Amino acid sequence: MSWRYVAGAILLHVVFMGVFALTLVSIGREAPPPQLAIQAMLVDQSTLKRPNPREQRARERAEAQRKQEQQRKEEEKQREQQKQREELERQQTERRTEEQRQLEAKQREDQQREQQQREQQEQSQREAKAKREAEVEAERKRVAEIERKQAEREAEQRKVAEKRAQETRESELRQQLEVEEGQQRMAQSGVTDKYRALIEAHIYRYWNRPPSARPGIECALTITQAPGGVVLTVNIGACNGDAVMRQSIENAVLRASPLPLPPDPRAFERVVILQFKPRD
Amino acid sequence: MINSALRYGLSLILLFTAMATQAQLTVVIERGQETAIPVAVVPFGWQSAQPAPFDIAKVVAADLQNSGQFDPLPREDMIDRPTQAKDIRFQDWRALKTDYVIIGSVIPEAGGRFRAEFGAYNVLTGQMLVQQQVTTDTAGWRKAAHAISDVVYQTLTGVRGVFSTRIAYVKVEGTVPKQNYTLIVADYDGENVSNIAKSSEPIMSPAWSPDAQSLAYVSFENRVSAIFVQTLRTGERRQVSARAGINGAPAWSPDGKTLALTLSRKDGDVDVYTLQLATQLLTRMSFDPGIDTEPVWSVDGRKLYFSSDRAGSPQIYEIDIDQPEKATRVTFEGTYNARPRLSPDGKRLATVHLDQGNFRIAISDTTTRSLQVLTQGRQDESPSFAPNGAMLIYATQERGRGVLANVSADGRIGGRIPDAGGDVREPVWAPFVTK
Repeated sequence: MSWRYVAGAILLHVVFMGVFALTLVSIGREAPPPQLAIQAMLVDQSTLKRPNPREQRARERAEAQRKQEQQRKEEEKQREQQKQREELERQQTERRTEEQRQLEAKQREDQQREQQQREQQEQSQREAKAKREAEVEAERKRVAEIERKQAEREAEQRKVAEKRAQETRESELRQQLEVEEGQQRMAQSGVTDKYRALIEAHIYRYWNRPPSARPGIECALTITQAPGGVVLTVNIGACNGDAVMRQSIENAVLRASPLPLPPDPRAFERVVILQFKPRD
Repeated sequence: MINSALRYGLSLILLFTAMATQAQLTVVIERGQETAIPVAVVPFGWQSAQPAPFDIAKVVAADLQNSGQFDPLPREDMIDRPTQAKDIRFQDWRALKTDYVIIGSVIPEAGGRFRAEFGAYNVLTGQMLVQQQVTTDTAGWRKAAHAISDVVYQTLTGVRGVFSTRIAYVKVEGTVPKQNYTLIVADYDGENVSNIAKSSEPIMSPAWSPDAQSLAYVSFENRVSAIFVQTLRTGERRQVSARAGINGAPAWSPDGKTLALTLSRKDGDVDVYTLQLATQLLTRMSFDPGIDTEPVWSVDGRKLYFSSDRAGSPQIYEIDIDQPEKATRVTFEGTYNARPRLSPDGKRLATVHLDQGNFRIAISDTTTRSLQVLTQGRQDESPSFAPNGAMLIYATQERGRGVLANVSADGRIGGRIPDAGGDVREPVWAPFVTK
């Protein structure tokens, strides 16, 4: 006989006994109550008032479940309604789009028809215009010919006038040269010119030129002035203007009095001849 | 002795030469101002303390202002109000920078009449320029005031005044299709409106006879166009042309015996004709297949000017009455010149001219052909010269309705002429009543 087999058997027995003991302990501690169809418990009156937390929880859970169920049903219904509404809308939109499409198609048709009509009109207008333009062109050519002849005539006349003007200019230049030479001889020529310019710039602002003062009108006005520039006498000399012209130059000088004095007092003259020669 | 005489003579000669060489300064003045002349029209004197029955000075001042050449002083600026020459203190008016002062007084006479004495004086020289008087009854005082303006204007400018002349124009009221047309005659300044003809159909193209006693005009009262001549004083009128097609644009010859007009007749070709009023003799004056219309006579009555689009757009052409086939074009500036009107001296031609997209009044010189645009509107039309050639009246648009305006012949000055309301068009200035 082997002691090994006995020891092994005792060990096995111990192990099995230990496991059995442990199981017993654990079972004894957590033994579930037997599940019956109707669980009726004898309840102490005093404990009725106090809500059983577990029951409470169960009730709440059931309530919550019921509510959930209800809500789900509600949502279901709403979703259904919503779906119906959307369906309706979709149908309406479809109908409207269809109507719109038809309208646009009709409009396009009308437009096309109008366009055709317009094009026809424009075509006939263009034809009429082309015809008229041909006539106009013929007339234009005729007028252009007449204008050309007139221009030639005018060019001739202008040449003659220019020649005459040239001759006058040359004689005037000669005269002017003589005058200038005479003036240069004067010692105070620069100062006199300045004095002249002063008087002209002063008087022209007071001369209200009448419409009859056209180029070609020349009027000489002789004035005498006091040393301070005050105009003492006015006398109209050679003048080919009308009464209004004469009035205007007389008034001008009287209104312009006193006349400006020269920068160099030696250039002062008591007698001044004003020659009014209006120019455009 | 001869020695001393010689010496005496020599010294005399020397003296004279010295005097001759005494320096004289010569100044040449070539330019001036072109401003309105400042004048003062002093309220006329009146005997009693009560106000005068009419204000002559107010009308005279307005007339001078309308001419564009005068600038009357406002009454509130007058320092004193002389009514007699001896009361004028010229230095006062000089201080006010007035050039001329016009004074006067109104004196009652027998038979409910009045005498207006007036005078014009040069403020700078104290010179009396004119002194006259006019008589009137209560009804004619405005006419008397205009007569005074004419005298003053002519004295101060040398040009005959137009303040006693009249104008005619067409007034349109209402909206399409119910419109009313009235042919109106008024004083040159728009006063004294009187209705000459009324119709619910269009009235157009009035034209004064050379004696200013009649008006020719186009009327559609018979549903088609016809030309009538109406004598203003009697109101009597007669139809002078009612041919098939267009009857339009009547224009009197200078001797008043012939009308130039536009007819289209049966063939539809719009052309210029002349019609002798006494014999109804019709003579064709234009032959182009285009539109030839709006004829106007030359001063000597031997030529006609009219507008024609034979060159593509309206321009003005001239023909001899005796040789109407040969038409000469006279306007070359711009692409559009129509509605020709000749100045009384025949030297200038006014037209409706297209200027930068606007219809404006322009004046061309008949010899040099140079053109000057006078007005600045967008749709100016129907120019007509005053009988002194110094101004023109024309129609323009203001706030959507037709109104009348005038402009000086050099384009310098212009203004509105008040009218009787409505849409006003086609003004024509009457000639002088006495030549």
